[in-house]
Amino acid sequence: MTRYVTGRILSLLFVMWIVSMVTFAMMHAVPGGPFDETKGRLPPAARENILRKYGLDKPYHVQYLNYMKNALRLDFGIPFSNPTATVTEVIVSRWRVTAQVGILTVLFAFGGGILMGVFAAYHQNSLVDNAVTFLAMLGVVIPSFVVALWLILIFAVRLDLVPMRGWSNSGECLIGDVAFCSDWILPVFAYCIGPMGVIGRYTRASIVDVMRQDYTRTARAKGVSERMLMFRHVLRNAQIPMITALATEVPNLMTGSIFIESTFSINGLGKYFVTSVFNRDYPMIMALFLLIAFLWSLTYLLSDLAYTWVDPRVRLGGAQAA
Amino acid sequence: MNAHWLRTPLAQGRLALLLAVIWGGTAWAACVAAPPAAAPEAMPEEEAAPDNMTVFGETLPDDALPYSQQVYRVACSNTATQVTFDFAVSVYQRICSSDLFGDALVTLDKDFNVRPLAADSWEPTADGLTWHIKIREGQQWSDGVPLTAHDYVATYQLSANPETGWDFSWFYGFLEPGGIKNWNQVIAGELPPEELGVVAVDDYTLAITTEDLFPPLPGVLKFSWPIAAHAVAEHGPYYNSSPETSVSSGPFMLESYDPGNELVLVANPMYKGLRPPRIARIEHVYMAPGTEFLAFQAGEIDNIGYEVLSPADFDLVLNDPVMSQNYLRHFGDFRTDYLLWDTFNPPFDSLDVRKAFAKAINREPIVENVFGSIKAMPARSMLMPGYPSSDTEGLLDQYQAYDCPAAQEHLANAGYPGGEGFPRQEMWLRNEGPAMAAVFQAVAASISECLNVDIEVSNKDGKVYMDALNAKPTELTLGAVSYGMDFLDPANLLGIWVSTGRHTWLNPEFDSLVGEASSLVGDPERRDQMFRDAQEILVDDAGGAFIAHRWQGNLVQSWIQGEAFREPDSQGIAGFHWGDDTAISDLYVSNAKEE
Repeated sequence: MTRYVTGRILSLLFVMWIVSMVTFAMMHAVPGGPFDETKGRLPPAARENILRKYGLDKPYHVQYLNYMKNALRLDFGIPFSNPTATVTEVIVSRWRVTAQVGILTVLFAFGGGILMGVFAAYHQNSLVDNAVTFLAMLGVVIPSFVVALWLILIFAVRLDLVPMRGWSNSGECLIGDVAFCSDWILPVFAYCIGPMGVIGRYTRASIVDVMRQDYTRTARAKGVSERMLMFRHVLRNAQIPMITALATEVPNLMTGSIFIESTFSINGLGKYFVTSVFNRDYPMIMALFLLIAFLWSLTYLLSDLAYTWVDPRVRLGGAQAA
Repeated sequence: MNAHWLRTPLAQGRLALLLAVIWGGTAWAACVAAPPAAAPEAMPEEEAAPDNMTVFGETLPDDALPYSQQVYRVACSNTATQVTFDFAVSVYQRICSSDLFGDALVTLDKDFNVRPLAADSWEPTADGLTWHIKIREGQQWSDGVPLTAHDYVATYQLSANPETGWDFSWFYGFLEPGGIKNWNQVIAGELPPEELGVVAVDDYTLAITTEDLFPPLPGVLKFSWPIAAHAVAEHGPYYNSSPETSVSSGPFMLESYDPGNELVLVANPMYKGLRPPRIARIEHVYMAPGTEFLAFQAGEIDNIGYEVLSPADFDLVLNDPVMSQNYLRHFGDFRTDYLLWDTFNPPFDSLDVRKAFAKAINREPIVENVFGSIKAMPARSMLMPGYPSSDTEGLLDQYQAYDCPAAQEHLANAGYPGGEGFPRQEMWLRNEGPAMAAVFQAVAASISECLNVDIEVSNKDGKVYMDALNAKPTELTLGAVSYGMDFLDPANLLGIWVSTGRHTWLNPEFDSLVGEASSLVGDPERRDQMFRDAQEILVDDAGGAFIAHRWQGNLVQSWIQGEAFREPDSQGIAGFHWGDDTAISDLYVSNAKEE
């Protein structure tokens, strides 16, 4: 196991190195630079001065090496679009909120998705199954910003039940000992609709598959109650596909969505994935892509480890099951 | 296969642990208590001051809410990049309400006349190259330091400093030959900022020298919002980003700023200028532009711009008895939408091709049905009616008015009868939103339908578009764009068409007329006629095809009152007029808000 994990960590570093090179090359290949302006071009001499100031006048390979040398010391530079803070400060300050939104979304998406999937699978090919499948597909195909605007219009503007914007700190809205802020409801709901549909579909398919296995049929023939059958035999054996789904959704949800964050005025990290590219904010682009690469690699590593935890039959690194 | 393994305590324990990790993480994220936001400090009580009186001692109108409730709430985009409060540091990445931390030397009134603001008066020297601007004494920064000519000198020097990399530095170069003396050499680092043609003659006299005669200079001083020289020296150019180091000589000062989250300004009790505000507080609500109308309907914000209203929103506004009365339509920055082309290369090097395209645009139905007549009027020239030297009589309409048979004839004369053999064109847009993209799609469709030519509309990233437009030689064959004024003089909106400007079109007679008229003093009638003649050349030679002049506007809550924007100007237009910095002093919240 140790050898396997060490190997995976080394491959993670390799992936990040490749990602850094590809990102660097692509962002410099795109036309337009960080200091090309909206209306008029800076006079050439002035432009050269600015490029010199930010080290952008140097050959690309020198710029890349300088960046990586600093990045290894966790110095990712200063964003062009926010010169009063470092990239690290911006990411840390914004990611806390994004992570809160993401984790709550993961929770509700998986909770709701699994329930939907179980319900649909248990009532396979019934009206209920069709209805759940339809809802799941609806969640997948309707963009989150459309859902968000409708939720705002109905629940915030027309019915005035919840705030239309913001993301309060958990310490500001406690109900008893539990943090629960009313301005969390709409963003999390709008954000989790899509993944919930995906999880619902995954869950239904894997449960249906397990329900058709011989051991399920045997258990039923032996008189095991349906509830016991579902919880002790079917659901547990259907965990692996759900973990796979978790691994694909978590990095997305944990890095935020510009649509959700901008629509609900949540001051998170999501918008930077778009604005930094529009602004050609090179330090920010590099840091964000490295962050994404790290999260994806880490999540896949953890999900592989989780397979062995959940199902002891799974062996890592090519080892055979006993 | 069987499921017995899950019955073992070990496996069940691991499953429970995995779930516990997920739930625990969630609980941590949800419950980790960030430091609660600092409670806002109590406003200092105005001893014995009645609640209908501002901190400046002005009595509020009878229908106003009490002073403590004079809170103006406006939206601030949470997707825009915002770097600084100061115009001198960045123009295109300013934080909301940035021009409230200082008074420019001049302002415009609602009829677009130049009026003193921080300045008392101005006059040119005998040779007309240097302007002496007297700054009104007694003005001060919120820390008590007097506002002097040295602050304005520091402002211009900071902008011109190559280290600043000012994103508006093209502007004073664009004013050539009448730009500020040594501007181009200073921003290039060839001369130190001290060599700039902006000096303090004494504490309250500023002297600005231009490279050539430039009569519109007083209007250009509208962009002179000052920075505090002493604060820059102590804290650097971003001193205004923190309430601890921020100082203001304007009507408001910074109370709190959490980027992307919260921005609160309060009336600056130390303000001694000409626009003391009636409102006590401005709260900026960060939100996506797409949600501003929803927030307005929910009463969360008091004013939204026309640009965030979709055609469907406009339907709602215009059919609502209250909202329709409170949509204030105005000239804005006299913005014109037009097509531009590379006239140095085929096919647009042919005047007939350009005329064919210009006459193939059926502007009326496009404006009526796609743009919306509340937002635009058809254009056949660059200068919007109401702008100086504009064609209010419609004398230039003949050159570009829709005439499909004539357009087809021009195309045939160019060697493309019936559109045959005309190369397929790609019309670039500059990162337009859906509403404007639809307008330009309709323009392309109108041309295609009339001329039987193939035009593909391609909406480009803003920087990609500008890179291609500004490249010499240009990399943009056909594009659509809009331009609004920077200062109220034809030298501005016609100046962008001279051959050294942004467009790939050359007409020596036009260049000569605009160049001469720009620096002409003492004969306003001749100057006006020269600009009119120049515009006729531009339209006749089809330097561009003009599509629409934009009506801009604001939707304000019924309880937001003030004569400056509720009462019409001399042309019958009520609204927030571009360049009128004094409107903010007139604005107040009426008691209609409580009804």
